[in-house]
Amino acid sequence: MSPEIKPDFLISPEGLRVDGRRPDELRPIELEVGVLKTADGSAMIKQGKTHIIAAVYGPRELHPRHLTLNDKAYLRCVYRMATFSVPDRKRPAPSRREREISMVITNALEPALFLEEFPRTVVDVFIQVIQADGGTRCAAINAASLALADAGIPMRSLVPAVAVGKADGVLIVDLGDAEDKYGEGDVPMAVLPSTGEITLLQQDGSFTKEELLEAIQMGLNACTYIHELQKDALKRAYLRKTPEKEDEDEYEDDLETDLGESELPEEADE
Amino acid sequence: MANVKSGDIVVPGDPLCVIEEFTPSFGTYEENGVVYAATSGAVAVDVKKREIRVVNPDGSIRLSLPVKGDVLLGEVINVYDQRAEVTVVKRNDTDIHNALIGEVHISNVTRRYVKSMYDVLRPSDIVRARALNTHQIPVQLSLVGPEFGVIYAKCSKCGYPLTYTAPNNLICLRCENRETRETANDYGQRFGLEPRPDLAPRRRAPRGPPRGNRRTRPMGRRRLPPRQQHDGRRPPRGRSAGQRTGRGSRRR
Repeated sequence: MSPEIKPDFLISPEGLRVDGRRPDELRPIELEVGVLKTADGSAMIKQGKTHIIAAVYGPRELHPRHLTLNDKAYLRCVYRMATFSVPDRKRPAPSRREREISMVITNALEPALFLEEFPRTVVDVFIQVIQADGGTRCAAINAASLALADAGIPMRSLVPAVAVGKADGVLIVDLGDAEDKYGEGDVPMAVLPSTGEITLLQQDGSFTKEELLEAIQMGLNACTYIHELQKDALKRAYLRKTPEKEDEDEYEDDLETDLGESELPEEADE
Repeated sequence: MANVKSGDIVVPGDPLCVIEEFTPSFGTYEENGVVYAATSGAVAVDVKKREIRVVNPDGSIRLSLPVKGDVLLGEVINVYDQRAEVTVVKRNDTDIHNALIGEVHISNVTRRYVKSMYDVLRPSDIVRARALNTHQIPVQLSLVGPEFGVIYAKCSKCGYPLTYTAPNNLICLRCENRETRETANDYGQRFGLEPRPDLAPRRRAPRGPPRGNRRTRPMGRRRLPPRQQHDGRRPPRGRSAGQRTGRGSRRR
């Protein structure tokens, strides 16, 4: 991946993209909830070659105190890229871009959350980009909203996000790194699927009005699909927990431990 | 519309029922007459109260904040006349990763009258308390009950761990300083401090000499003369102490 070469064409004569996708096709998305032990909630997303981990801590006490809000919780998102996440080593100091994306993610997630239930507290969201291959801010929103749900923060719905772009004059969904760099523009967007409200809409490059409206429509469709994936991942986290318990029971039955030992853990539980 | 039943796994945004069927409770929200799930978890329907909640499959709540009735463990960091501040580090015997602040009001220390918070709590005491409110910061704490109260305290003079003598009475075995705390019934046992009932302060004799008022009163207020603070080696109760206080009060 390190030698950066501009691809000859972003859309092949057959109408396929550099990685062989159709224009309205997303990269394969893998979501997992509860990947970190110490965090109150956590989630991991692999969207193509983009790998991101999000961790949520809180609601907890806010330091510095002067930032506390008396009527609701303060949502503090921190988006960070690992030094090894990009081909050239990223300097570890928080960059202007990271600060801006942190703010953008905060604004995208806040309308979905019922923060007024926890006045004078903070909900910390830490987003770490392990490997970046385009579309990190949208993938980060996907992961962060799952991590928030995993932490039990009350929310209206999960927040799916996707980027729509234009390459060689064709609107394409879920840009990769090459399409982001050499394409003609992109529109990252985040949606509340229940109401269809758009909580994030940015634009880079130039679009005509018709193109933009169509891009938004394509993004909404992709978001409904991502939302289903998110719901599945969240339900999987519960289904995984329940069978484990059953397994343990069977395990104990098979072992034929003598009574004295098997009573000990029960006492510890009580 | 009740398309869910108890035990169903839902995610935020899933419609649960209409408001006429069940009242939205914890983990749900209501919009345009429809009740939606606000957290992920299992649906729990309370048919008696006509309530619908979303909690963990085992009935617990996933949030990291304490709920009413939780047993919390913490260290007293500040004591004021009417209240004390506690950093809570354990909740129901599991560590909290980010300590939160709790507050004890003087009315929640014991059922009896407490003149000043300094008589029942001191900074650096370790206390076990019960949470009085749900999902709020700072959490209000209560020390009422035999198992709640100070479980470890240090001498305010020399810093040596205090030993339990009688309920709410402690003694420092190094400098023989006596202190009062609102103790839990298992004070010091986690820290290897054996109770020493033999060192319990004796009752002020109600059957003293009938006209010995002048004598007994200074003995009761042994702390008052400032000179007493210096001789830490003095036995807790003795003739010489009484004599000295007698002289001191006469000089006044």
